[in-house]
Amino acid sequence: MATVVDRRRESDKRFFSSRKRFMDRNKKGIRKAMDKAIADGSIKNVGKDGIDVTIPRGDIHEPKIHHGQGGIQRQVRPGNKQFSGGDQFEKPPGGAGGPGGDQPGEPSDPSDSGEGSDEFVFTISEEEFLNYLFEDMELPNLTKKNAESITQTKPKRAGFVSDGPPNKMDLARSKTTQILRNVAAKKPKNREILEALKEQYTLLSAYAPDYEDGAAETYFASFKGKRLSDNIDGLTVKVAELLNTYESALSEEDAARIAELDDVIGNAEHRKSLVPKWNDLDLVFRHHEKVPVPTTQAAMFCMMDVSGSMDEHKKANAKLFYMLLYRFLKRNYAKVDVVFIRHTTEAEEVDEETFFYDRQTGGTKVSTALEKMQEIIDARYPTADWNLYGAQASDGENWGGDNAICIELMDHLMTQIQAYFYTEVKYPGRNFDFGESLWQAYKPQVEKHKGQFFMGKINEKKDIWPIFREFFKKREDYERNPSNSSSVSAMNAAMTPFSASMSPLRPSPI
Amino acid sequence: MTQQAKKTDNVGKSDYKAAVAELLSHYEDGPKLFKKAQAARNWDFPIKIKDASKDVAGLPKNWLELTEKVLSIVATQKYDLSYYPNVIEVITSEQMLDSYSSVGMPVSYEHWSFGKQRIREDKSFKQGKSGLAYEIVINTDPSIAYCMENNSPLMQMLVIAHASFGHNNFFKENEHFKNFTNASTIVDDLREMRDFVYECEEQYGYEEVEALLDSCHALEFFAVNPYNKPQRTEEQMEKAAKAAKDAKESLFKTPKESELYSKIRPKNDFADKANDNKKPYSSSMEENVMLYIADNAPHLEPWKRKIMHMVANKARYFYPQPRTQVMNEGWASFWHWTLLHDMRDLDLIDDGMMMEFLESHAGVLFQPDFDASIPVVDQNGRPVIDPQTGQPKRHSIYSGINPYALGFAIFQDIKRMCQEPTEEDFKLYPHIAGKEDWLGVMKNAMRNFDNESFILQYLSPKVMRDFKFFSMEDDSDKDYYEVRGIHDKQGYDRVRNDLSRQYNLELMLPRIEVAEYHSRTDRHIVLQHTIRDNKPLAEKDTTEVMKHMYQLWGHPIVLRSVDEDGNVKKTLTCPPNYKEPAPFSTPKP
Repeated sequence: MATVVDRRRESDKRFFSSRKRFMDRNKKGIRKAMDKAIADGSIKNVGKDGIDVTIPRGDIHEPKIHHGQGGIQRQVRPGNKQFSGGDQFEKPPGGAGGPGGDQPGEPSDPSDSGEGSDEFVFTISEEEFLNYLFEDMELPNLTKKNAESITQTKPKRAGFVSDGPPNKMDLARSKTTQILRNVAAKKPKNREILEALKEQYTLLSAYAPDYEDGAAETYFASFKGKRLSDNIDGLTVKVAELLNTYESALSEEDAARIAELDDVIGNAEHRKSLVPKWNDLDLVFRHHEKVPVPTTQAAMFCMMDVSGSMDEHKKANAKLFYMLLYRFLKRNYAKVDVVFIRHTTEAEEVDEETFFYDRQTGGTKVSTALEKMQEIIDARYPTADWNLYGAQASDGENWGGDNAICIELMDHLMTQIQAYFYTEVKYPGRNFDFGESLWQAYKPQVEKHKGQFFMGKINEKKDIWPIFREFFKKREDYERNPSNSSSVSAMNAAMTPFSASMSPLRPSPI
Repeated sequence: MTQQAKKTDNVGKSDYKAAVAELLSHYEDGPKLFKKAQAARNWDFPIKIKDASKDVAGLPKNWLELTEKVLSIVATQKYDLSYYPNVIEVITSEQMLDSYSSVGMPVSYEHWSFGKQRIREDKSFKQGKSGLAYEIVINTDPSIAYCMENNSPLMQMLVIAHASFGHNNFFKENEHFKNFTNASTIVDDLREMRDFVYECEEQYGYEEVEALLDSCHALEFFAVNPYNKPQRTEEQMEKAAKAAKDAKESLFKTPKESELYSKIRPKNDFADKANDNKKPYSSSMEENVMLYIADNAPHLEPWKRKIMHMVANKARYFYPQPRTQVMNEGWASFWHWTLLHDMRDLDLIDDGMMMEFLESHAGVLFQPDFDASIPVVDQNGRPVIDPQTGQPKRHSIYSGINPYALGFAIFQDIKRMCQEPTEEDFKLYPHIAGKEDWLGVMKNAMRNFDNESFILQYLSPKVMRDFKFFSMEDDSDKDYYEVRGIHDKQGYDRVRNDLSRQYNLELMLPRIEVAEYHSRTDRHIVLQHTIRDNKPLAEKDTTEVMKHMYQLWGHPIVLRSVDEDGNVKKTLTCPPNYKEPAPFSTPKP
């Protein structure tokens, strides 16, 4: 009998990796598509449908030896209408192949015989797009600052404690301890009291004139399903009433028994009152300990000039740059604070929405933004705990005299932050600088703060991506401990003979 | 096993109807199960075993199992078909696309070209250029049939009949599949290959492995010895196992010089025969170019040799598929046709289901005429006018002969010749016409032929007339096309011969062989292309493939195109400007 297997729920990831390899092979095409997406400004909404990548067919051609044009081709075809054996037809001009011309069962790749188009187009998803976009990029000089004075913690279960907030009380465990304590203290049970009352009632009700056999049992039967304490209360009242009515008529024997039972009840009530229903000792709480998690914290300050000289063209490019930066940070770092500062002659901290979409005009005083940044650092980001980055976009125009202030502020800032990125947005072909431009003022900084201060010019959209890549490319040449890396490679070398005998980490065979 | 179940198994061969009835009697819906499932459009229709039959062992538990079981009773007891045990896997359309790009194999190594294939399949499917198959079945033991989830119950019954009995029986009994493939080990072979490729990637980096696989794929068509029976003997298997072990060990050691030397010694010293290349079909030439390079390349690392052998093994496994495609599809179609009619005779399916079946059958077997076309329409459904001619544009729908249609027609025709022979049949096919045992005649045809010989043997004038076949010649030296023959008395033989040649794999591919190995000069090899039908090589691709060979061989490659008379017509070399040195001659004492 056949075996039937329903495979529909299984996701087959076999082609995931082959697809990855196909894409790696065609990185050039993907890069081109990315450049285009950025230049079009569609970086904001890349996603949803992914982007189309076009690559020349030659790049993915798999050559096979096969016959070329020419020679004798014979083809049998179906559907003859008017031909007879021996008929001859003139060849149409330029038509080298025969009519139709397909060789059935030809085991050759369809693309090799030419599907018509010279290009191969495929779609990559947003995920894949961003992977390629930010591949080999990182925040420079990122160091683990102050892993001991941690602010980041993670709750971890740590057994049970006797004190805690009510929402963490473990009811089942608390009740268990309560029962155990009551048993240990020999706390009388309500059932004992009820039994005594029942006996009293049975004795007394027998004196009633309309007494019938089994009346008491019928009454007791109605207790079923009610709370013990309610029944006790009800019965106590009844017994008291009966006692009032028939006390005088009681036989000596019964009176003695009732008094005896009264003692039992009183004694039990007393002992009960000595053992508290719930004791603080009964309560059990779940406990979570806060375990410190070492993290690398970073804050990025995005500063943009929104003054009058920053027209829509410049602003659009600056925003595009930040959009890219924002996506990069959001995607790569779980713990990165992004602070948005915009400035004219005054600087203000704004939220993401305002930063990207709000309009404002005014004069230019770049130093205000730097002051603001310094202010925020002092208030919220102690340099001992945070990796700090600054990114500034401006058209380079500044109020006379302000540049010197900027440099002074900058030099101070540079002692506190990891890196600073300056982007100047200009018009294509209009790159002459006015006497006092920021570019000139900042230029010496590159040498002064080597590996820390980066600057670039954006004239057109197409400049954005190269500059971005330059700013955030992985830098192996400094801030890496050389002794460290050599020891790693030495270890690798030593490992080699062993790693071969170990089975490699691979998905399990199907 | 209970008594009842035993009884099921012991039912005589002739009494398949009773066996089916007995099986279905255990279920509450009985023979109505199939019609009910179809009415519910649910191939996972709940089937309920009667309380009285709860203890009967071996009863199918779901609808697909039951369907396979019923079909198997008919297939084995009425027609005596043998087959590998069946596995039926239900898959989604995404999974079907995945299966396409690995030719249905459940295991494969990784390579970018599979990713490319997958993307292409995906595109072509999403653009509506191609519909998805109802099923894929692979030649393994047990045989695995992948069935699409959105098939109706009737379609599942059809594809099980087609794949799990038709193709399965063909895989098991056809001579070429028996000779070239090993259904019980292929999945293990592929798994071993995948693991070995992984290991090499870890060891040497995947770029290097990928480059090697690129080269292997370029030579894939020249990795099979079409006339050699590659049946493995015990001894060979042991040898292969040892070689595999050695290759694995030698990954981590440098071979001694003596070992290296013994490996590179050519099997035949072609150099001595260098002057004797007058005979193009000389048996001393090696047609398996890939394995020749794998075994004799002077400097190739052992792991590369091993991977080349593995790729060659895979190529050999797939080799019978194109070689028998017409027969294979024809045979499977014949059996879905026959078994579904049996289902109707048993009254398990109703007329409506029969209509759906006939419609699907006709769709799969549709053969458009060579000049068939449909009007091109724009997005609004209006015909597009060709600006040059002023006529509505038309799009050709002819894409060669439909193997399903041709194969089915020939097999049906064999049955017809046995059952209702005409005078023509008695004259042309005296050994078939009127034979009572039509099934035996057909099974013989299925077992012992490939497309080429099958057509030569069994394509009758009746089928040629039905298809209105004609043969057209296009000789690039002439400025006209010629109709060589049509479906008439003078043309039958010619059309049959031409169609048979058209399916000859040997003629489809250029004939390339390793002719000379100049081991004592500069170690270059000479490949010989034997020109047939005056057909040249596609130069651009051939040059590309030669680069791959050069990469593997490590010394220059020369490719000579030689015509029937032994004259060299064209020589390609890699590197392009390479000049062959004078042949080595032993100094005379």
